Amino acid sequence: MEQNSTMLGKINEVSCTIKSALKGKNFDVTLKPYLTVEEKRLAAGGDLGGCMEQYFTLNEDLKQMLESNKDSAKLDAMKRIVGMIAKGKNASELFPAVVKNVASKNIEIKKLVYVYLMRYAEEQQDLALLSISTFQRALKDPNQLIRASALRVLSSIRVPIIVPIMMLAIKEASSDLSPYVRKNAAHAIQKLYSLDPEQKEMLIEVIEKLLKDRSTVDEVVDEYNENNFYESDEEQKEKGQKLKTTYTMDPDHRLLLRNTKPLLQSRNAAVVMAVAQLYWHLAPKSEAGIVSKSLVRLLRSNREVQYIVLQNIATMSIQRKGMFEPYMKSFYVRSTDPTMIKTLKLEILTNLANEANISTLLREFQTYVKSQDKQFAAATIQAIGRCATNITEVTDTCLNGLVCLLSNRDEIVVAESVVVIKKLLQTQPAHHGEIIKHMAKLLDNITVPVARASILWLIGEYCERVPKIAPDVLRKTAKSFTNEDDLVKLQILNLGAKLYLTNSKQTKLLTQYVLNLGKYDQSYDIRDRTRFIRQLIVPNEKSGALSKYAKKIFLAQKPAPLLESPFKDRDHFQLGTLSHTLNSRATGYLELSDWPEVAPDPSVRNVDVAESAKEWTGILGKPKKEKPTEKFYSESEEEEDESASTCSSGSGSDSESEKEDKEEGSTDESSGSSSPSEESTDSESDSKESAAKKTCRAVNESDSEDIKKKAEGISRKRSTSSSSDTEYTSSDESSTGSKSDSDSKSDSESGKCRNATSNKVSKKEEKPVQDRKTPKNQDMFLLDLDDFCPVTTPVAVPRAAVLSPSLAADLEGLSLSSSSVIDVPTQVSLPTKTHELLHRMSGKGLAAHYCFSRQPGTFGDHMVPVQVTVTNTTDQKIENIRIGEKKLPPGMRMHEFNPIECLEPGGSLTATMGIDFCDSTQTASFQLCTKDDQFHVNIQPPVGELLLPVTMSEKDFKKEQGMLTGMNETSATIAVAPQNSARLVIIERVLKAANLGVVPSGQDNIHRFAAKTVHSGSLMLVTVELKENSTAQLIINTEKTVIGSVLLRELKPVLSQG
Amino acid sequence: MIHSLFLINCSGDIFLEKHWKSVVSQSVCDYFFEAQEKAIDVENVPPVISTPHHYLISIYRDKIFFVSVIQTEVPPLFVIEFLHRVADTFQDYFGECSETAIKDNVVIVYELLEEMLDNGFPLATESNILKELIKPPTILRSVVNSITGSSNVGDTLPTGQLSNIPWRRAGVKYTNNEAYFDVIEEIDAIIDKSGSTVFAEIQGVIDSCIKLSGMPDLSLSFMNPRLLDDVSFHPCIRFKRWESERVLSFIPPDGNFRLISYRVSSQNLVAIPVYVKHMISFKENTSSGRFDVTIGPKQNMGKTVEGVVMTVHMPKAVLNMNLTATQGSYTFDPVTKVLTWDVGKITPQKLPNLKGMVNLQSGAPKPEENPSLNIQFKIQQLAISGLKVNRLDMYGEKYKPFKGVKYITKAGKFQVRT
Repeated sequence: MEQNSTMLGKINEVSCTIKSALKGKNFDVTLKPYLTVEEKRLAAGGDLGGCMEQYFTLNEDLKQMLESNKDSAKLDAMKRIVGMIAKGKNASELFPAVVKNVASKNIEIKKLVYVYLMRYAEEQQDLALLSISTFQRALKDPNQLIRASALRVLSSIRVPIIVPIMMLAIKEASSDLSPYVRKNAAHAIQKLYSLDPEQKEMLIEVIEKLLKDRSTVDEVVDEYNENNFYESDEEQKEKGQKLKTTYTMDPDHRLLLRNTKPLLQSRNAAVVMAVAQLYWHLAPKSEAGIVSKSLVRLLRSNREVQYIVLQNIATMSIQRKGMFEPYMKSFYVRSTDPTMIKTLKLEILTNLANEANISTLLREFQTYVKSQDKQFAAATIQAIGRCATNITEVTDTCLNGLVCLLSNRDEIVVAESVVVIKKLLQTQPAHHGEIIKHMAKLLDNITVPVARASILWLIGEYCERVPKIAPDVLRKTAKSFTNEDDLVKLQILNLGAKLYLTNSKQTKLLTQYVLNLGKYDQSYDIRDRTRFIRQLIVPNEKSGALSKYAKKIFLAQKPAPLLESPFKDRDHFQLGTLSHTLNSRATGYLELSDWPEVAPDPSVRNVDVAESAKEWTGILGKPKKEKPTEKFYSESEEEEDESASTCSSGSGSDSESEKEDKEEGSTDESSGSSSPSEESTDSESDSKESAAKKTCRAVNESDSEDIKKKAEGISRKRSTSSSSDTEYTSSDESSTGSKSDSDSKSDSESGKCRNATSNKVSKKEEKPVQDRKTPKNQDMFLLDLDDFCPVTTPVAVPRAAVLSPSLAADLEGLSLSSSSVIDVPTQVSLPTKTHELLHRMSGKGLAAHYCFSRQPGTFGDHMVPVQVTVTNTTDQKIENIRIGEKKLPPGMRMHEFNPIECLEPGGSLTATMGIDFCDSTQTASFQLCTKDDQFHVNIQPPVGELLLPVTMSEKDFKKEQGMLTGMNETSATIAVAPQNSARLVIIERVLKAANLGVVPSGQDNIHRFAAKTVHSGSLMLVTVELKENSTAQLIINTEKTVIGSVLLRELKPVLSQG
Repeated sequence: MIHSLFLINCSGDIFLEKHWKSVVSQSVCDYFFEAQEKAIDVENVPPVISTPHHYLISIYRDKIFFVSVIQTEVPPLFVIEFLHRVADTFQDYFGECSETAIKDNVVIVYELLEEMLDNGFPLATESNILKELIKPPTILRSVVNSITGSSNVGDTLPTGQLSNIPWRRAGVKYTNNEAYFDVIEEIDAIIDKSGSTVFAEIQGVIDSCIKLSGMPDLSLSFMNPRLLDDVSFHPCIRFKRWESERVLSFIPPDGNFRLISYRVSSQNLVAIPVYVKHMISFKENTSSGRFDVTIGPKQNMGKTVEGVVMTVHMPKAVLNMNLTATQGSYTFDPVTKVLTWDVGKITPQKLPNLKGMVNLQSGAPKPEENPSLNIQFKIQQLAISGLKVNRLDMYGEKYKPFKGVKYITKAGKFQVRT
């Protein structure tokens, strides 16, 4: 029996070779001379028997070589056999001969025998067992390479009987002296587990042992490793901690995010993608943005990498446009890209389209439409359609453009345009009779079925708008009915039915003719439809109640189709996975688990290795903190809140940690200058720490007030993060409202503002906490915090906001070599003043406030972002709040906020708009409209808000100042209140009044600030020079003298007031 | 993880297979052939294909498809990255990654694959390590081996595998100690019809060739490190030092490797070194057209632009082209419709020009769009971003190495729309 099967196998083999030989492709490229001979014979048409004989003799030949005494002959034979394996040829019958050589002294023969064994051991289990004893001997070989590869092969032999032997070998190898062998042992664990899952317990023991082994930690983790040493700790974190840390901004979570960030710089695309994936799923929204730059970098890589990365970017860009908007141009299509890359890029571009960039994008699309790659051109037309529906401003432009395309020579382009136009017209059919007529004309020339069907449907749907043309179209199509595609036939029937209902006088006969044709059509679908229509529209005694409603049925208002991204539904798969790429669940795909309800057991972090204990104390110290955290969330009821608060507190601590990073950097060189700030950070976090401890202890006592206060603080923090006003947002409803709003907005709402506002809040709650400081703990924590302070300070430090810009500036100033001005887009701003936009009395219950959020670049270069908070003080819903008519001075532009659909009673929402004030303090007047009312409102910017901070070194400042003297300089002497003369106070007060960047100063009594105007980008340099007897000289240098003098006027009282 | 690997050549023959777990039949590749047929162009074969029981992830390199068989969920980029690494290693070992090279060295290939992946998980992929485990073939060694029957398998354990610098082997010795750095910058650009820049970006790499004895510790600093916007590093670079001081500090691998690749921040305006004047038009009725292209240098900072090659994918309707070039030579392939004009060096005194007639298929409609021009060029001794290496210091070893830095600017994906 067995012989038979081998014979069969061989016949297959031979026939296979014949096939390839006949194809004539394999002649010249064969491996070894003997194969060539064989194949030549085959090609010459030698009979099968002869071939098989040849085959046998060939193997005999190999067998003899294997049994010879000479190593070189054996080696030669083994090489040939490996060649056969590589070719996919069956070499199994040589098994006995090969196995004998497993004990060979020659390391290369041994290796090749191992290769052979791994391939065939499974098929010939009995024989394979013969070799086991050799392996056992090899496992004790003095050469570590041999030990390692013996273990590797032994574990690769998938024969269940040897499980105990494998287990033994692994145990032994895991305590081998050579790390290389231990590494292989780690790999073997996994193989054994897949062979026999029942060994799990034992294997876990071994893993624990290996994990304690310092030098193999990486290796164990290697199981998920991707070629790169960076990778190991990344994946370790990801796999190990994803499950345990995904619930809140726990120190571990923060640690994970912080430590994975440098991996974005890896040269391995898979690593970068893994970090991106991690940030996408785990990081607060404000931080996730940092991955986009690295992902864009990957687009320079090979076609395959590009493909996967673009796919993932496509999914990301649907949900968070802001992330990739700055890199839009990187997605521009080149004519040499493969089609699949082109379509993906197009998809991303479409996702990124918004009011601001649509004109550029449409111009770019115009080039694409003309592409020689017609498939891509068609996809572009679809994309234009999607832009048109998504961005109402350009709908008409797009429609006109598409109509132009109707006269294109290429049929595919025309057809696609027709289909898209149909969809667009459906969304606003009212005023497009002309286009429909035009399309009716095209019907004679277009042959693509989908396009024809679309035109017919359009004419049928809007037949009342083209009463003269519609019957004529029906007449024409009735004539060609039999030659049409099924799709078109169905639409002809529909058209007939609709016309019959609206204009039966003219079309009755035609319709009946069409129906008769349909009745005898070959397709049952069409016959079906015909029967159905006939019953509905043609009145007869049998037709029931339905035919009365025929008109309603056929001419019902149809909802417009939504033009959606084909990537819309991919987001439920984890980013970067195979399932995501295929858009279907792959075997073994694990859902990302939900955020756990309770904090995981902190004891898993206890590592009992002496030498590593030091590093971990920072973390070990932390579990105490978790309990109060947990407490917060058990108090807050909804899950949403949880994530929201995670988000805001997270962003808070992040910018915190960024600052820390900078500080850390500076401490290396100039620890002196930054030490005070560090110290303050430390003590702050200590107090936090100890307070947390206290609260945890106090749960049972009546002292739960503290916790409440904290919880309130968090919720308040959350709500203020979006509304940026502390006054009226403490109610629960309003906070959820604002939350959803900030979600719907783009990510441009960066953490900075949240941070700033949360600082304000935390200031308040800090004070009681500070009183509770227990000095006992301080020493210990100070030590740890050297390493981990960013992690331990989720609560904002009150002064950090004031300190850090100057510090950052210091740093920039230190290392800046030649170039002068650097924009600081991430300037930390102070909480800004809120102005009233609309009083609730004059607004019939609708109140609105605005403030200047100082976030740069939200709406393009020249726009000043303004945050508008609307509050509903009535007891009814206010619907459709939007900006109505605008009365702007010439040159001024305004970027409206998205209309707010509905505002619950008592609710409040924050929206961000952009205004280009043209560097003037002129008022922007516009109407704030609700569903029923319109209110005139004005925004007048303080001159300080028309600036963008820039950072420059003192040297550059002086240089620039030197160029802006004379006419461009305005100055004044002011009195300074004594309490205002401290450096920090001055900086704080000036920054509050105007959006300036701090310039590091060498002299104590001179403070310098720099900014540029938002619109024109002219420099604005401010110098405050303290003199004796509490006066100061205030100097402003700028080209924009008008603004300069206004700013001078505004800054004057800032320092003189107490 | 990775279950099996098949290597397939352009004509669809599976010429090598390797299984890391149980054997997967060759027939699984039929799904791949199906997809390949559907895609028409090799470029458009989807990298990830789903079959009823397996998933196929493939890359296309040097006219070979590397098709890997996957059974369970795995990050596709991981597999792709690994396959590219395999191809790189072949390139490194055999000088080329071609079908013949692989077939000639099938034993080494097998040993490499065995060493690179164990049970589907990567084991050793660093070229320095692999070269110690498995010696690359050289003519001398193959002669010696055939006589003595000795092997090309190393019998000592590579030290790098164990140390904390896994990319460098111990005991490197050179008589001439040299360290060369090539700063190569590529300009990616899209220029529109009117000659204005739609998109331009500078991407750079620093490729190093380090032949230094012992364990040298190098630090490379730049005059203007702030230019580098987004950098990816070879694992040897100390990230902390870069973060804090913007200095590249590293113990280099031995031999050739890519030290960093970077992108220059987009705020900096990119100087485009060439301009193109073009006049391409197709006439409606006469089934012919005119083609007239001139290339000239622009803002080249006193350096000559050389190695200029222009390739144009002409529309399908073009039958033939009758052109005259004032400089260099041109070829037109009537099958693929690709026009290649090898210009060479541009001298500002006499601008190279290519002009003449285009013959179109009679009766075919005139092409909608003018083809875009892809341009390659090279400028020696210039890094277009202005990046400059400040100094290279070596610690840890006594000798004085010879150091050299070379700058080259090239065209990357440089496309002119017409």
